[in-house]
Amino acid sequence: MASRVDTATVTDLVLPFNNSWELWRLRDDREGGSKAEYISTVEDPSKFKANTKPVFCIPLQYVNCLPLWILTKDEKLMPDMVDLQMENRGILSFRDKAPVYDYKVIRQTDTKTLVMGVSLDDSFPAEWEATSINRYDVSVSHYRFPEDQWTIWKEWGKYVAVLNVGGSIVFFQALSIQEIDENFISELRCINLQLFSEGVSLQNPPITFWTDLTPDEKQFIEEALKTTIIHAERPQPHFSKDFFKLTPSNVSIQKAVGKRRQQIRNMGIGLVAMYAMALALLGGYLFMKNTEINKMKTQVDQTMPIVDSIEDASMQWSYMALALEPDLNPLYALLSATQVMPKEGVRMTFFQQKDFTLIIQGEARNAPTATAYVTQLKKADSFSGYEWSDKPPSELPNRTWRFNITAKHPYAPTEEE
Amino acid sequence: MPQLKKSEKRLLIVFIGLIVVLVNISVIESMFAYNNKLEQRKSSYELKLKKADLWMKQKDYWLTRRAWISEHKPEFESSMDATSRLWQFVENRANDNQLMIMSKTLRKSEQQTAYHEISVDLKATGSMEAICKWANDVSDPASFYVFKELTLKQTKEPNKLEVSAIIAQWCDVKDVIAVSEN
Repeated sequence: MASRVDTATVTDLVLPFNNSWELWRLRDDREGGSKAEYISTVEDPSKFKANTKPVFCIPLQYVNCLPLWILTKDEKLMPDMVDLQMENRGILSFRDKAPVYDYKVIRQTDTKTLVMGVSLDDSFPAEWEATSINRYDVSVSHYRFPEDQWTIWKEWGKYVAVLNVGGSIVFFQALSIQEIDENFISELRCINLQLFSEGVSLQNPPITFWTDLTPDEKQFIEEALKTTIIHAERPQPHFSKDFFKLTPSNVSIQKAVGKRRQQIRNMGIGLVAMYAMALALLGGYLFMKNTEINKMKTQVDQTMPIVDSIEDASMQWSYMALALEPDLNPLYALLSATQVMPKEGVRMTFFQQKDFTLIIQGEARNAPTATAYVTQLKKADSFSGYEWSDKPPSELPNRTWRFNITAKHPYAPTEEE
Repeated sequence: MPQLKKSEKRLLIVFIGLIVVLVNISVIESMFAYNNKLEQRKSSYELKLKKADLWMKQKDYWLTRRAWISEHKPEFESSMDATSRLWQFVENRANDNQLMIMSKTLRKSEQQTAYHEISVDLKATGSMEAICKWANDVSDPASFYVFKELTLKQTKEPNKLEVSAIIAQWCDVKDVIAVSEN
């Protein structure tokens, strides 16, 4: 049964040992410790099928190590000083666009700091450069070494030596001699002598071998180097948060390009998703609107027969308004017109109501009286809403003034009707 | 399938991109056009609902009026019958109010949208008081009598007016018989 693996706490480690490559799965237990699970061994590191992007441990033969005393304790100055020193010693590779190196502070005195500079060698095989690898490191970051001792084992076909002083790794190197003989002893003695003279190593530290030695070889080394030889099983690798960053420049560049492409792809996908979402929202909005309109249509369809019936009733009434509405009765208009007439000075000579049109003609003693009567007519409540048309009063030969007004009832059909 | 060159691939991508853009423009255009159509439909239905709401508020008012019309509108067997009744009515009311009938003419009956109209032309003379009383007698909405026209003119005699009127009655007739004008 498959089980869920929390990738945040699991690291696959591609580790060189002897003449082959091992894949280890390291689980961080979140309490500072880790569990290592051996997965498989292959000849070609690209054949591993890691679950996560693995950490690739570069064999030490492709890495240069340089312990340095630098005369500062200022961490800001250290990168430049280490860079200069390493370049000065000629161990920075310019095969790619930028040299790949890292350093670690080992210990400090009152005035100076011991750092261990590590750089990727020119000879690092290009076929191991892959963007599928999470980071490049060295195997020594993932082992626990015996304190104040050299530890020697075979890695990727070569003897490698690591020196631990005071609990920290201070130096490591792949040895050039691959047989345990006088030359092997000389190389080891030279390295230790130089480190001892620089105040990095002890005088004759014991040596632990993780590879098998014959009793003769063991005796030979002990006598030659005047030290103790210990044989121990190689410990399991462990999860380390203290590591070197040795990712080749090409891989870094490819990763940066890949990241940029991924960003552009994500941006494109984001835009397409936003566009699709906008379309979906618009579609949803139209759907909702259509649903709302359909509801309104149902409501209208249900109401319209009743409304038509009411409208028809209203029309029927309006057709008969002339017979049914009291204010359309000519007698009502006649009485209203006489009610506003002054007691003296005005008389009506002609009255006509034909359908919705009213015509009143009369005579007045003088023009102001005629005008005042016409004004009163227009103001009368009974004639509210009427549409009036009248001419100014005209004088007759008998020195009286004639007025003539026409009015249309508000219910009068318009010309269009 | 042969491998495409880089320039061919680029052209293909541009071509596909153009098609995608055109299809999308068309889709968006059609969605907006559909939206406009929906807006128009919505406005139309909103208007209808508002109108319906207004009418519904007046429902009782108008339906009561229609019921009143149905109840009171006179109904006659024939137009001839209706005409003779109107003729008699106008004459009786004029005589009752001491109006001197100068002329009386029967007008052609007409079928209108909501009623059948029969009418009479009348010319008479009388005092203002008599004319007003007569007009009041004739005005009876419950019997659907209508003054289609009422004209009052002064005569040469003092306190005497000439009245000219078209009096109609709106009714329903079961059997319409054409009545010729006299």
